[in-house]
Amino acid sequence: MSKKMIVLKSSEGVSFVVEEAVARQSKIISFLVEEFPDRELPLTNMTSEILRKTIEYCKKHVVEDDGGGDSSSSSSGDLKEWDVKFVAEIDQPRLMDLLMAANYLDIPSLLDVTCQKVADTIAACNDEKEIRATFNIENDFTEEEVEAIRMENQYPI
Amino acid sequence: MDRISNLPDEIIHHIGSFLSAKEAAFATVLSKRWRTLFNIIPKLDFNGSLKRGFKDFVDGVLALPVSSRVRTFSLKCIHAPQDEDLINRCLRHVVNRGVLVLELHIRVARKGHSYLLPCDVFTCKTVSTMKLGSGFVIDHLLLPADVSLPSLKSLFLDSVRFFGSDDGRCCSFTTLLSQSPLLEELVMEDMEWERWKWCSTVSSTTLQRLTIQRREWESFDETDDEENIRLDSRCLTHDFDYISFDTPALTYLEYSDYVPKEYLIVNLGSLVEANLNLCVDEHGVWQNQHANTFNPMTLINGLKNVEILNLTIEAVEMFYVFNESTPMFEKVSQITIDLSNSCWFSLPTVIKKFPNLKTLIIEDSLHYRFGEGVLVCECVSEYSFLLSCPVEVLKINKYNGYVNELEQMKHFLGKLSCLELVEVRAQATSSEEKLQIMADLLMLPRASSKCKIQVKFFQNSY
Repeated sequence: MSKKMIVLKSSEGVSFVVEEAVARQSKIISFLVEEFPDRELPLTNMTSEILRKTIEYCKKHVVEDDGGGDSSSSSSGDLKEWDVKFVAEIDQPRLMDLLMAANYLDIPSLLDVTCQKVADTIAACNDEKEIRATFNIENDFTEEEVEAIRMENQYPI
Repeated sequence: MDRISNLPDEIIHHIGSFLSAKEAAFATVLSKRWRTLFNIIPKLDFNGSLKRGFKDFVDGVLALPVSSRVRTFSLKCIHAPQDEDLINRCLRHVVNRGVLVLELHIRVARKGHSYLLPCDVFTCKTVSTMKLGSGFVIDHLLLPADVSLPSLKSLFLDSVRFFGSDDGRCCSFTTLLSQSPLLEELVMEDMEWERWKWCSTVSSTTLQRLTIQRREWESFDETDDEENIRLDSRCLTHDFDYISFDTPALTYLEYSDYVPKEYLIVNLGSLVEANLNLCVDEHGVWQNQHANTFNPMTLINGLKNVEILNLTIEAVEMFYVFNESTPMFEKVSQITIDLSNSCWFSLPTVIKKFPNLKTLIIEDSLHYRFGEGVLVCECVSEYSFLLSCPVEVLKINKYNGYVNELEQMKHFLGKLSCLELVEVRAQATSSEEKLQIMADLLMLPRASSKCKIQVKFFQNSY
């Protein structure tokens, strides 16, 4: 028996044919598939590039369910390693896109992985100035305000 | 607005849930938008009886939203089995709140119910200082497979029991240390090495400071309910076979305990300072026949790079018993000895092993006795060993100005020919006493012409 396939369409109108089990890791897609079976699903706020990345992640994380019980395609240790590599290769703007895609499609594990990567990037900075520079955050505080917050938070220790 | 600040609150909170309290504190000063997103709690502290107010405390902790980051969490209480669930729920919650310092003083009774910490404590990504005590069991079978303390720098253990597998191949202690890649400081109090079936090995490539302290020198076997029995001469109820130190980066060692029968592996190549109080039995007296049972030579040889040594009388006597096989400690430039009221018979022999000694600090009083005709104990044979001693700085930290002390100072000053500075901390209250002590010391004949004498006075505090 061949696996059931569904079609996802990116904002540029490019169609991606994926196994239903792969796509169903998104709670949103899962819901849409049940409500609108056998229809092409238009994901108008996702570019082809990000959709391709998202599918790549979902393919890796799909739990094979062909008689072998809950045998995942990889062991959990390998999977973690793969995740780390997966996000390490993505630049910051695309990481943000992917994070938003995970949020929009409701894929909790991908959201975790991308948020963790952002947190790691913040943690790798030595001070708030470096964080601002890394993420282009505009400082709308005066020096006095920053000092006051520092005192309040007993920072730095 | 930039993209990250444009994310919805709940997503920024989710990102923040991976940050430690320190990193979140940086985030609060990024911009006004970020300021409101995190709440940094400097300290959550419970100290008291679980019967009073603990439930409210835990409810408060459990109610903390993910946007709260806790810097320090401290829990001091006596363990009670019926409250264990509450304690564990509280701990599981707080280790996911970016905690940097985790202090758990949960006193567990030595008998009966044993308490296991929740697994989450051993996978906490943010904790950098962890204090655990007392009476816990950390069993290798119950440690989570993904033990990882990637930020841990300081670990304090108070009476924590570790267990290894029957074949001796894995031990929870080894696992814990090997999964703490930043560990710099380890304090082990009352570990009772001999009592548990574990690796008895401190192994870490990053560890810089290690403190081992035994406060309870008498051990009792509480498995026998009828009567506490003591087995060997030094009151240990179990065979104390060996200890290993595989700590190549260690620079500071403070070690106060009974010695095991031997030291299997001693890797202390970077050690600079060692503070030793090594006892053989509860009387603390090393005798020659102990060399038949105990062999601390691997440890003694492992100290070869040490520059600063602090020795108690027990440690000095250990060096004395193994004097013949002890190597020369070429690098030692400073020794502090605390010989208290014991006889100094071992000192003349032991000090010859330190050919480059520059600073000698005598912590307690000089070797004299009250009310005896003899001014200087014959054990030091008039301090003739000082004649070949290259000491430049001598510090006497407790001096009363008695005639027998002065007699000894005469030997030190008259024989140490390289002396440049003598520092005496003298105890005196009236100005007459002070004057007398100063005058006596300053007028002593000196073997070294460049020797200066400094006297500092302190008042008896007890």
